[in-house]
Amino acid sequence: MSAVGSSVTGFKEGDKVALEVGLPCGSCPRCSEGRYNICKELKFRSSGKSFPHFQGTLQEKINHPAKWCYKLPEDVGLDVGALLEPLGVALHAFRRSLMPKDATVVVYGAGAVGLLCAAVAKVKGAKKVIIADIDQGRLDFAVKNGFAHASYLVPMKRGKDIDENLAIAKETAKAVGEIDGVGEVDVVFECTGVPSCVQAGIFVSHLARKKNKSNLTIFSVNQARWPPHARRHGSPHPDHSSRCRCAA
Amino acid sequence: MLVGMGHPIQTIPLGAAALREVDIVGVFRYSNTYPESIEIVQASKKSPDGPDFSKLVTHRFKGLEEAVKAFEMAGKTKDVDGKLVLKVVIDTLGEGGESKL
Repeated sequence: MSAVGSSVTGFKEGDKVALEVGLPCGSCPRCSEGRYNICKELKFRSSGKSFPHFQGTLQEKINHPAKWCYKLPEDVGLDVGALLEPLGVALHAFRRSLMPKDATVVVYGAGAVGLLCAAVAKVKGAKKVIIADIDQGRLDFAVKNGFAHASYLVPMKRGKDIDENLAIAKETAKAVGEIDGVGEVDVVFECTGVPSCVQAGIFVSHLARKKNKSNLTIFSVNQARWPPHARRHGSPHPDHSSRCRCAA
Repeated sequence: MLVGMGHPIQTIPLGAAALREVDIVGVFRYSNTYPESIEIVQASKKSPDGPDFSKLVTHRFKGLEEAVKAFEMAGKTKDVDGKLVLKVVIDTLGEGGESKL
């Protein structure tokens, strides 16, 4: 921080901070229930999703509301501070997954977000996290550095029609399930966007939420599934941060 | 959990999902995650088998004038030496202000 506004408290010049670079409206129904990430008026730096674009983060100095700045503790450096943004995606995915402890997990994609999803699942007590990718180097990285317990190299195979593609996805699901005899798994984090991985993800999942109250099959991107406040503060995850900033 | 954003329109075995009560859940960015994310990276540092988050930064460039090179690198999966490319950092701090991992 190079300067602090006169009415800002809790920060001082020289503090190391991480910025949350999406600024929501703060008053719509989504914001009111704490789901400001899907606020329609959200202005997000470095994103081309909404127009006109909000100025991005490729600036040496940036004027940003203190509300969306997070002070980094002494033992967290700026590099890791910069990783809090993609880590947020992984944590959000974990929270929405209702993953129980001792779950078995498959993560498709060993890019940064896939690695972070695997890491969060592991940190949150998953019994077995298997990461799958087409790149052996990424898989080796994941296992060697503690992001996942095991890995599966997905063969590059493409069918000529939907039936063949679904058959390939079933094969992939079966092969992943054979890693350490894990079988069908509790939670799948699909981090590729590739149709064959989404398909394989469905085939490798079992009664995903049998331990929870939800018995609905929901296909949704933005639909409210549960009040996020209750979601964070109630059971299944009593480990939420006491400093959570939810609006509700 | 649909985290990846590749193809917005896909053919998926919805029946297979429905018959086994597999929930397909969308994920868009995050909300209220930073404080807990900080706790996660701190806890991982102290745990012997915890993921080493700092390893994700594989390449770094100094100053905004290097931004084009940094983006080119970020678009690759491996650099010219065959080393994995994951996260690329552009460090805009002045001399002596390097971040400490």
